[in-house]
Amino acid sequence: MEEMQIQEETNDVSPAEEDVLLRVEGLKKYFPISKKLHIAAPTKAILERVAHVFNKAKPVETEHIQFSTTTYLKAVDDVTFSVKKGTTIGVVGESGCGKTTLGRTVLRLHESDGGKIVFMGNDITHLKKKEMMKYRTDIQLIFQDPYSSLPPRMTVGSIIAEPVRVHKIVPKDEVYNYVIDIMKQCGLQPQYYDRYPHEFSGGQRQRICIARALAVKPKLVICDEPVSALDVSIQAQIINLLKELQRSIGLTYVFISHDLSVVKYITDQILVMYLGNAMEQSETEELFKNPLHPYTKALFSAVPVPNPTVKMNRIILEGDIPSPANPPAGCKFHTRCSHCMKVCKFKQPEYIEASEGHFVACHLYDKEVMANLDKYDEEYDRMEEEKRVAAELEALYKKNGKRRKVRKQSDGAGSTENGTEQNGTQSGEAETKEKKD
Amino acid sequence: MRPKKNTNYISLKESRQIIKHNIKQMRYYEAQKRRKLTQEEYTSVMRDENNIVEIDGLKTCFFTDTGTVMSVNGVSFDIPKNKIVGVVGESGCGKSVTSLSIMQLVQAPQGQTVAGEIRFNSDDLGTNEEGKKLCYDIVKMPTREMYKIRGKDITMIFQEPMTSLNPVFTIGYQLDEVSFVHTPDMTKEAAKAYSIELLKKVGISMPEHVYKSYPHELSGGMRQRVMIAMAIAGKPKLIIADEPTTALDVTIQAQILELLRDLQKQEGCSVMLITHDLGVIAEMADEVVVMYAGRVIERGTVEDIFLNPLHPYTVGLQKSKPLIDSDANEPLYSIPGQVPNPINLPNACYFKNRCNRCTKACSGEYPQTIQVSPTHSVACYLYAKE
Repeated sequence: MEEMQIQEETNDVSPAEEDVLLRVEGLKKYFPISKKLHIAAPTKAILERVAHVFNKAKPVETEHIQFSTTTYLKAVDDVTFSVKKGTTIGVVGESGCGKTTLGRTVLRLHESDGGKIVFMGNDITHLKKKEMMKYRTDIQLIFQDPYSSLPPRMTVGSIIAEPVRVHKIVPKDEVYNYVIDIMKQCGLQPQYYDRYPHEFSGGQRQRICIARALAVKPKLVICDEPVSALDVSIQAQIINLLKELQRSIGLTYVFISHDLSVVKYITDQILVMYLGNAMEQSETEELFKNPLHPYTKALFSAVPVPNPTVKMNRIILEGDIPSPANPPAGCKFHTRCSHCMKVCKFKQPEYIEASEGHFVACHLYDKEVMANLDKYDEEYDRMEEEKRVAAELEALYKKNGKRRKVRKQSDGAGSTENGTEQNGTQSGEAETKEKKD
Repeated sequence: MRPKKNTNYISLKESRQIIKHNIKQMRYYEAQKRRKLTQEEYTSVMRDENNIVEIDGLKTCFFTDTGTVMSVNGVSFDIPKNKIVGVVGESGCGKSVTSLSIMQLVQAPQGQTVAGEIRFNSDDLGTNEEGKKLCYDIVKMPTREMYKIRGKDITMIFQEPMTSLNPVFTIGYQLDEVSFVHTPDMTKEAAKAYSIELLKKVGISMPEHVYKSYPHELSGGMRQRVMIAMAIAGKPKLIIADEPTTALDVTIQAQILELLRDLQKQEGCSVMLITHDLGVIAEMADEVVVMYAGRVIERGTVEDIFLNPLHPYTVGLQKSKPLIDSDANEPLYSIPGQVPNPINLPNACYFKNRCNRCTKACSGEYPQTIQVSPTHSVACYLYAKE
């Protein structure tokens, strides 16, 4: 059986390898958020209080007590996509949805916490730094802000020539001509070779960044919002340049952006993200013609159209994007969704293929869920009821518990008068603290 | 390797001359501001009483170490009562400096308003001998007088709400402050009640909670709502919104724009909306002013500008923005070249080198503004009547 499975897997992989340049499977990136507290000589009351705050964590040591808990910010949670050679995938979403983290994790600038990154048929998820060097020239990054991503003390020529020298792309004596060629390709004049970045405008700087990325002959370029810091007329120049380079060299792009009209123009397929989860993925044409997820629909309708005669039927989302450190349970979008059902509040939707090549994570398109809505409603009601009862019990317990504690302390102070004065004052302090809180 | 050439740097001698000139100029204008003026000197009469602000030939320049930058170079336009006027242009075209000049907030002493008039229609002044209503001329107004109208009659919403709210005071404190400054006899309780009412007005769901919290506890959209609440606190006649949604997400942008439009209707004030996003302008504005390199190149109603654009720059700007329904296979139209260096601009059309419809006449001096229709005007030789 095992052999069979392995064979199946290899069969699955080999035909896809031909034209798939990058495949990302269930990629995860969690950032730890840790809370720490160190108490020198704690009393019991303080300990109880702290344990409550720290989610019932147990103290690490007894004398100098340390509490620590670690929660995780799920920046990228289970994202899967693949890009074919010579095509572009767009990653769209609001700020804080994890698009940039996704790009950086693919580049291995962040270590991933799960999942697989397959580049040109090779798994690069756990390669060591030296082994990764081979692939560094193949994957390049263009940053958002061309003002802060160029070193101010290097000339344009040396900025572009540096990676060429480091990776030994061409022999030493040909570097100058090679760099001039690259600069011409990116629309920079050869006399700019000796100038410094501060002498250029935003658009020209972005061209320098693109030239630097292209100098090592990459196969995949991750563009992290390359045009959002530029003016409209310059934006068009850069977008045209990127498209032209793709046509002439056959580059593959992962295009991260929040500007939907730009994404529509440049990409072949689009991945919509929300709070670290993939919400919808499809071919660009299909996605714009037939958006399925309520979030995608709202996102598309929010784009202002520069035509005063067009009256938009806006879907205005209420509220803000929730904090990614404490995302809502169930479907992460349910707090702002206009189609929210009871299922959405506790069950995370699965990433299903609604039509061919069109993936969506929403219960509305899950036939199994939609068929058994009543069952899920009942389950939700039951859970709510349980929660309510539990909360009531907790409140009751707290009330009684506090009274009992107070009585005990007063008893203790009465029975042992000598030598426990210090303890008594300390617990008194603790009590006042509690009251203040 | 090629030998290095020392191009586009200025010599030490030139640099000294520039600095000397700058110091002289800055002292002169600062002294002008400190002069004691009688009320007659800084009041004048509105051309049309239905306008809230009339800007005439405004020139604002910055004295920098590399030369004098004319950020605003002879801008004239009106803001009518109860209308939203949109100002569009690329970065560095002087749209923000125009708005700061209206508020008298240009960074002094380097930045100075050197010529022109900004007439602000105020109800406080009464009439002159001929029975015409008096108005303030903001360019000549002394700073002390400006305190009376800044933040009350004219308010401003900035681009980055985090940097314009004070991080060490609560939202409530900062909102109450506006009430205390402009109505000194207000009690604390009344101010608090008014602030909470304002927060409710801008659509914040838990106003009492937000009143007590600090700016860092709120999200970007909430902060911008607080800024808007602060702007409408003094019952203003004109709100200047300087890129109010650029720092926000698309879905939050839609919320804020809708709020701004509703409030404008409710309060009956005028809004000067500065942005570089043509989509926002098309949706919000009644009238549009297109600026390029410190000058107004085209002016008209929204329909004029978007359905019948005249200046080659306006046409190019609209074509170069990819639309949701545009064809992805055709290359995007792009305006060649870049914005000219703002120092020592020649007296000719600034768009000459990037224009694709350039004629012989374009080599002449800067084109006059041509009135094409009662509402639509353009500064381009292509539409000269001869």
